[in-house]
Amino acid sequence: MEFSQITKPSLWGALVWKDFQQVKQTFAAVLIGLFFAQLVLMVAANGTVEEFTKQGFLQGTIICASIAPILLAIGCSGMLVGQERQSGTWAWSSSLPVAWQTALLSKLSISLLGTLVATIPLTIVPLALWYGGQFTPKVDSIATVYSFGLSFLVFLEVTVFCYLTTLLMRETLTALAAAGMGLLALHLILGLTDIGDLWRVEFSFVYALIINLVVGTIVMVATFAWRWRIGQQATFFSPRGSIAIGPPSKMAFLVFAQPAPSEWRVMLSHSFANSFWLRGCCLVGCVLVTLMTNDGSASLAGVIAILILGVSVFDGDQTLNRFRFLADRGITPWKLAVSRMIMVLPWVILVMLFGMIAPNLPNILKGSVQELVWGLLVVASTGTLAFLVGALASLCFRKSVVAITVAMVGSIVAVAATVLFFAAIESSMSYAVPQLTMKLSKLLVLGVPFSVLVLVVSILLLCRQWIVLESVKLARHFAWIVPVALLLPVTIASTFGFLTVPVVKWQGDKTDRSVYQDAYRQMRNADTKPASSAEAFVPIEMNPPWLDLSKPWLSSSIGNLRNLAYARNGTFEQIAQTSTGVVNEIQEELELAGADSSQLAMDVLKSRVPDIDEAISKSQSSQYFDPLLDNKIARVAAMATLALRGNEPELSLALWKSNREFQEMAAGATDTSLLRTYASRSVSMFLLNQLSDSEVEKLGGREVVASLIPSECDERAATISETRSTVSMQRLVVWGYTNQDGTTVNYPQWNIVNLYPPLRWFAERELALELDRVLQINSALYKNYITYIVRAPLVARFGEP
Amino acid sequence: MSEMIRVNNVCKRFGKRTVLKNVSFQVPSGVVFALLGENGAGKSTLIKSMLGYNKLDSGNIAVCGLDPVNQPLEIRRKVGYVSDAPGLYEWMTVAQAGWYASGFYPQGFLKTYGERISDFQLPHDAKIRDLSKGMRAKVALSLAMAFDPELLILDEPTSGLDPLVRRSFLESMIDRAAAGQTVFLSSHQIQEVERVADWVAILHQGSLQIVAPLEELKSSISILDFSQRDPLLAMPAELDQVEVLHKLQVGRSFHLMVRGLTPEIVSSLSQNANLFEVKSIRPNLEELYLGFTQPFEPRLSDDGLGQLSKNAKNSEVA
Repeated sequence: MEFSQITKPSLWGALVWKDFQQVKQTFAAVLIGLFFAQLVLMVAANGTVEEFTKQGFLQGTIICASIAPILLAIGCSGMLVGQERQSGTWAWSSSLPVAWQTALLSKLSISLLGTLVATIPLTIVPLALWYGGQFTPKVDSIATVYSFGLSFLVFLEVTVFCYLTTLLMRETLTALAAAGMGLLALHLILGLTDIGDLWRVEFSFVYALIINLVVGTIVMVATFAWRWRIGQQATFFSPRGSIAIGPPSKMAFLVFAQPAPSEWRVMLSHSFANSFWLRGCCLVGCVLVTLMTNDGSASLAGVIAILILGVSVFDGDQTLNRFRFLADRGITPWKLAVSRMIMVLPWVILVMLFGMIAPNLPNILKGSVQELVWGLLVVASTGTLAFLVGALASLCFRKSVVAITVAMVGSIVAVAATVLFFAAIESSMSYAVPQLTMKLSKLLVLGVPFSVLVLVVSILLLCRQWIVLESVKLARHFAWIVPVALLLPVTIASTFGFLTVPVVKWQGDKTDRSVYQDAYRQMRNADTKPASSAEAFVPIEMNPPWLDLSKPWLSSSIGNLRNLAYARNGTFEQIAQTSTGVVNEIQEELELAGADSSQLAMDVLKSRVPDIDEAISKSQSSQYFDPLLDNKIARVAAMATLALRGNEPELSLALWKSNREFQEMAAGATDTSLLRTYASRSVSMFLLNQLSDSEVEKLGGREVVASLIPSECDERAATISETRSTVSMQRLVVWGYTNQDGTTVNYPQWNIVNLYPPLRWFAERELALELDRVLQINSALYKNYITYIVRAPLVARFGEP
Repeated sequence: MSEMIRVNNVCKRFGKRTVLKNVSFQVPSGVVFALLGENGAGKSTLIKSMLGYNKLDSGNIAVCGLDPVNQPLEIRRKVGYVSDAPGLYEWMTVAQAGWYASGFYPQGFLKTYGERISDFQLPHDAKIRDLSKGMRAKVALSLAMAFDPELLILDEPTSGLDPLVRRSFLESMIDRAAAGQTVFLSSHQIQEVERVADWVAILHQGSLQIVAPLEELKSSISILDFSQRDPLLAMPAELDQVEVLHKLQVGRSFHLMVRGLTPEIVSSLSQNANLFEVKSIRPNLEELYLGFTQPFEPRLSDDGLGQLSKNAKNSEVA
């Protein structure tokens, strides 16, 4: 098309077009990264049973949307001001007939409007979840207005400070780090003065924010006008023109008089000086975050700081292609890479100490030596990976802002890919967060040697291409890293995932073990059968997979759901301890009341029956949960036992009936009451089970005693049955059919799970544990499940009521 | 002839270092004005001061009758400027760069820009980052000339251009001057400047050595070469009638750049018994430039010429 046919843009149109073109990639990267993170959080939330944790994941989707403006503020400042100055385009822009006000307004408009528009897609997931009733954000009008207003102010504050520092400093990344550090320092200083703590604790933050915003805006606008007027020529620290030719100074003579340094010395000193201020900002910023926060955000800031330190490895050489100077002088790529990375490592270690270990030190010191070592391993692994990922990104991308964005988004994608892999392989995530964290941290530590190997080799290989190739061709040579980086976590997870499966130790009597194992073998392929109490309590030992190699591909692992013994053993231990305590308590109480003889004791018990009846009637008529219900259940059961031993069967029967009524009250109330009354209900059922045959006869026989057992809830059994069916279906889909006789297993062809044995081991183990987890979780979700646990031995003895 | 640029007693300091020392000159409109000077002489500082990028410590500048510091926008609308390192957006294509810049100038910019890049044979769809250094310079020149500015300020404009384009570009500068527009350029390509410049200014260590029309400069200044038979004898009195701008002495041979040398003086010197090989030639711009920027006395060197010149100086004093 001829130029004469093209429509000329308006001044505003041209400026806005140019500014948008500069930031569109940043917008895309932030949007994709955060949207992906939201999806991962949504998947994780769907598989999480604990309501509190689930809500935490879902709230995370809102956090993703709310941090987008801050990330975009940083990215826009870096691209619209920092990158313009660093690449020299500021000179041309300022030589055009454009007023500084217009240029500033265009940049701010793109930052603000672009951020508002870009945040909209990120609200889709939270809104959809909210509309679908999955979670209820804390909708409080004041809190909402406060949150929105605050995030808007934070966006403006970050924008203003990033603009200011990028206007003052030539190195974009250093300027952005300095902005972050400056903001933290100002908040710390203004927060410590506590001058604004008039309304609420957060007000001091808002107060500091407003001061920063007002003062920062004035300074930024003045700096922009000054910088626009003087063009490209000066930096903040050296506002000089070019140096004129003149005689050498004495200092120059001293320098030339020294012997020539070795190549390594030159490389290392150069590397130390490169991006020095940026590295300093990272460290100081970490310390400030540690001082300001008491939670895990300090560790996250530490990881981000290490990521930036990684980007600083080659950042100084990337600026204006300075690495060509070294390449022209025959510096080998590996020497360049090693010298650059070595000098950043002390900074990384310092950030690990002050940014990641120091904030968690109280928690670390509370634990055992093993936990301490484990914690340090996790920190070291995370830090090493972040550092190497940053270094690789800085090698691949000439622009430091792009490098840091890609490194962050890439890290999010890698972590999310691993989490999604877990979700996909297990079909549903029913982990509690500590379990998931532990699993992922184990994978992290296990995978670090491999990841480090791949990343270091990649850096060394790419360093050669980097030095000799033009930037436009470089992309072809690092494209292969992308699939490797994405597949690496999944490969490591699938290969070593089985190591993360916990080994459940046998907690029962050794003589019972063979009996249980026989029962287990018989029931191996009976997973689809409805649950029965006998099955549900067969304990079985979970062996490491390599001990199960004699079995055909661990096909029987599914039967390991019977490791509910783990839970059962714990339950009975608790019952035993609690029951002893309560009975002793009752006896002591009777003694204190002067009941020194058993007859007197019975009189005391009889005198209390009207009180118990009154308590029952009150509780039934009240809409509120009786906070002493758990105490009453245990006490009445203990009293009933004592009455029977005191040869008062009628009294005992009355008390046992009261006990049942109390238990039904607990069952009819909320889940919380069920949990709260768990121990006392267990005590009462335990005491009932301790009755001798003669005592049972005294009470009226087995049928009468059976009627004293609270009714069973069918919901639990139905759930267990459904879960078993689901898992069986999953099993069919994942690795084929298992014949009813359990002897022949037909694996479907072209099934990826069967092509890679470690993956199969992992899937088998995870699926086996899945049922166990579901059953345990049922205990918290379904009413009367706890009753079922303690009632099962009673049913075996007395039969169904 | 009206003034396009007036520089009046301009001083500019960066810290303790004085970069421009009382620089004064005027650039008439409709000429090609060349600013020459060694590296670090202050050329770029002077140009940036003319565009309003620097605040002056003393003196004043008027460009197109406007004050650069207080009226920078008006100056940018009238002046096309190409810096020594034009910072174009590397992600833009050649066409996009023109489209973007056209937003800041009146109608007709795009048409002229299209013609320029066609003349330079630049690919419209190529991204700036894929262009060579010379091609980028062509884009920058096209952008600066596309709105037909009254004054074109060029800092090393032909750096990176191939000989053919360079010749074409310089001829276009002559055409612009002929059309009444003014071109102010700084360059190290003295031979090219000599071919196109109407006026020449030489800046040396922040001080303006000379500013004059090139032809007038060349006609008023001569190179005088001669040798002495007896160095102990005094110099001829005729030399007192000329202004010695630069002197180079090697042994008994003298190489002088002088102003006011007439044929009569040359004839008189030729008849002097103590002098032989007396020659007078018209210098070219390069010789003028070297004369104004090199040290007045020859520097010490390893071949003993320095000692000889020292002896000669002593004898001259005697």
